[in-house]
Amino acid sequence: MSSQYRAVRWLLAACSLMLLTVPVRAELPAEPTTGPETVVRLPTPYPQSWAMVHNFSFVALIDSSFGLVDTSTGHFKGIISAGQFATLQWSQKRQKFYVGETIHSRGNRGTREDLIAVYDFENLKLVKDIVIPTKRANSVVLKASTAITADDRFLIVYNFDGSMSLTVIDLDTESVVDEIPTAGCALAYPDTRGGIFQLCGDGKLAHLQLDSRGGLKKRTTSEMFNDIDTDPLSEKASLIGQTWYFTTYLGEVQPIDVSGKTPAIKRRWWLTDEAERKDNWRPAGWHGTAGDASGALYVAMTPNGYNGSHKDPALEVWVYDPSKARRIKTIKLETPGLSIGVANGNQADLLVLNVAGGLDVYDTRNGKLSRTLYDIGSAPMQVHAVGTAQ
Amino acid sequence: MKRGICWFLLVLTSGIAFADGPLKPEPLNQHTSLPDTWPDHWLLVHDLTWFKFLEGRMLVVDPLAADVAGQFKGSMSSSLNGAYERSLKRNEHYIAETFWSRGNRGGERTDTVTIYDRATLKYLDEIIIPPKRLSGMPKNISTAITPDERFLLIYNFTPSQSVSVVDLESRRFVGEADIGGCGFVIATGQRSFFSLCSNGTVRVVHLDDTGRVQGTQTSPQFFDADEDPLFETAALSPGKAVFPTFQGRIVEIDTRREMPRIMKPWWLTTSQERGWRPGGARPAVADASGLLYVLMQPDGAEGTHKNGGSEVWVVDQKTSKRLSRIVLKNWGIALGATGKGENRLLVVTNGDLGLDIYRIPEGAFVQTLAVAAEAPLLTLPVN
Amino acid sequence: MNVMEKVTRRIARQSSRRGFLGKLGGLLVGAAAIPLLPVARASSAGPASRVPAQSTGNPMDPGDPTTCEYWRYCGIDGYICSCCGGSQNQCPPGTEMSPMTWVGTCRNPADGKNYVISYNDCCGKSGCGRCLCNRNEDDKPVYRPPANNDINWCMAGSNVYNCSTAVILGLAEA
Repeated sequence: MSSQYRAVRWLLAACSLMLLTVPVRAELPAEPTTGPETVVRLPTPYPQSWAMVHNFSFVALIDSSFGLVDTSTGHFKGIISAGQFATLQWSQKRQKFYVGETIHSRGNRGTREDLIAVYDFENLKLVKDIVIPTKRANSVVLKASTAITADDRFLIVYNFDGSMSLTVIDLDTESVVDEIPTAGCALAYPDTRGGIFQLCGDGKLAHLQLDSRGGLKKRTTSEMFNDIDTDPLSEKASLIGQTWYFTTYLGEVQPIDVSGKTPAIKRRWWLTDEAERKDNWRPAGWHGTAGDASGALYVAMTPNGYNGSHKDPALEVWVYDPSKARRIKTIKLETPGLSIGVANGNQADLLVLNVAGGLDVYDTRNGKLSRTLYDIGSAPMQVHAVGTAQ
Repeated sequence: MKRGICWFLLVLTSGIAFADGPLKPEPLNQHTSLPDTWPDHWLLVHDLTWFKFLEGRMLVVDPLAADVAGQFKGSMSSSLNGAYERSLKRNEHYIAETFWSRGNRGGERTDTVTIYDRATLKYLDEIIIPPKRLSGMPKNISTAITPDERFLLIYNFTPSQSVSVVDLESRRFVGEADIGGCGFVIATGQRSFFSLCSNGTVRVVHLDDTGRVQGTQTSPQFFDADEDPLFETAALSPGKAVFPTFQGRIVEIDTRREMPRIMKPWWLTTSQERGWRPGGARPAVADASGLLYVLMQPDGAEGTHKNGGSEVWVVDQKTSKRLSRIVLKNWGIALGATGKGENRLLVVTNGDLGLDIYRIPEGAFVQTLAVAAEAPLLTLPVN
Repeated sequence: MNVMEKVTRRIARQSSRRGFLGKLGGLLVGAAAIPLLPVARASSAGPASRVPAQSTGNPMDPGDPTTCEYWRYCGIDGYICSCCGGSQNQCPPGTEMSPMTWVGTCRNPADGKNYVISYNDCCGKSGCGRCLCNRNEDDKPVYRPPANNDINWCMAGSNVYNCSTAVILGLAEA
């Protein structure tokens, strides 16, 4: 054997030996099935693109849910399970969700219990069950059924069991502190000073100032301004800045300014011009109003409106500068929409729950559909933007 | 929606005068009811509702009616994979249910046997039982009822295995029988039941007339749960429980006496046919005349036992001979049978979760039901 | 033919029809086809998968854990937690990993080894409803509980079922 050959053989042997003794990472490590690493925790505050989708679950009312999604990636982040006719409120300051729900002891029969279930943002875990009087309004997805006062002190729950009242919950102690009878008046819209106003069956609004313990301090009513028989205000309003914007069924905007001590009913203006009114363009959708951080008002609209079209799907979203009562943009929807919301960030994204059960995300700069999120429940009917600009 | 109807009714009853038209005002609070005796061919459909477990339901269906309105007769709640039994002599349905105090987010668990009136489907009563019953896919042997309809037996898995005994006459939970290592309940004799054990035996429990455990026995080993396990669904007929195995044997167990008699297993397939295997969520069922139907898939292998099958093989249990092969119109995943005499029907839950109806024993396809269910994996005869 | 794929497509059609679509009485102006549930097949070409694709980030742990074909899911039965806010080995926020479960053995195509996979359920919230997947390799009947995937293992705590994970316990014995 030549010395060269012997050297090569030696080299080969040495290399083989080295390879055998160098530890090679050959397998995947064992993973825990107990302990905190087994559960995902969420970044808080939530990124501005995150939203909660309310699955009303029409085919199984007692098994509803709120799905947390990232509208910029389409990823599903987690859920809050809820009972029937649930409501959602949240506090950015406290980083908590407040879920109103009705549960029966035997599922779809039995003893009724009404609750506000409190969840934390980071873990989506139940923090507390607040038991409330069994009279909370069971309405099909209605944002104004509950409200949090502007000072973040109280959660207000509208009750309807034949008679109307409000349950007041102190969010510091997470307990019920009062029940205020509100005969003839419904729902709760916060002002800027810790009170709320309601819409009444006689066409007026009622303003309730609360004291520091959540009791009624003072109640005032407006003059009649809402002609419910002819052209009622839709309950599905949005607060933009310090003004609530309501639309009427036929297409007027009714601003209600809450910057002062009592709500001021401002002059109305039409969403449509005469030609559009001839084509019966009207507000539509399940929840058809939204606002963005720049102050723009978004209204879901449908042509060929008629008596009863106020909850029909919308074909377009019209965008306004409400301070000038002027339309600035029209966004045509690729799929008719049921409810709209806006995720505010560097730019506003228009979120549209569509009739095929998807969540469409539109770039409001150019009106183009950026993406659609699917499988967000059997009946997604409301979208809430729960992120904050970072 | 509901509020609108409420206001309408308030207006109707408020005494406002209406002009006399061709239609007269109608009384409120009417509801339909079902006949006291139900036709033999009607069907109970257990909907597991796997996208909404809380809202499980039992549907009462006429599988020969032409449309949804004719087919759908009524329903009962079957919360969280409820299990169904009935008493014909008391005219009662029994559904073992599970509830959570906080609904779909848990809380405190309560298990009940809910009692419904047979004809009106009205809720009658509930019997609270230990909150332990098996939570899983529906199996027809999760519960059993003694032949005299006195005691209801419920298989528990927590993971401790036991059987709850409920006295249906006094409507009381009587006690629990420990069956560690074994699962499910099949009634045998008058006051006994047996369970399938993972070591290839059956455990037999004898009850006295108050429903308390009198004694237990274990059979010799007769199957190998690793090599060729018994499916945990049985084709039940009076005096007999028949189990197919994953590979295609048939195990018959005589249930006429307090001690069940296990017959020698035999192959459903010839040695050339061994690629054919039983499959599905419920691969075997017996009809009212005692014929056995087995759902069979070609090219069965390890892991395919839940896939279902493309044919149903009809077997004469007296001779253990295959009589015919029904080629299914649609792939099937579970079998059920209802009806008697000339009106026997095979119910096949198909791959789209529709219900296909065939006349048996000939296997003539009748229709796919218009009644929709989310997960109808278990269908039962009404009588 | 994979039964679960047919099953989920049928359910999707039914759910859409009976849900609010039915309520609207057919006002589907130019609406897309009835949506399918995302039983995303590995070979799905064409329009984007209905659930965004994911990766574990580890080439030794290959595949997309939102799909039924991911190697760890050889015996899974239920909703895939990766589609529900969790991951292949983590529960979604607010749920708890069930302490009891059944185990299977799956082969990792990256290294050719067999791993023992624990299919721990995540409990405490209602069913996720996304990415339903059922594979039955080595599944045994319910009376052999540690090897059965039909059991709702969330019954260990007082909780309801949300989704299923696939946690590596270790290498299977040779």
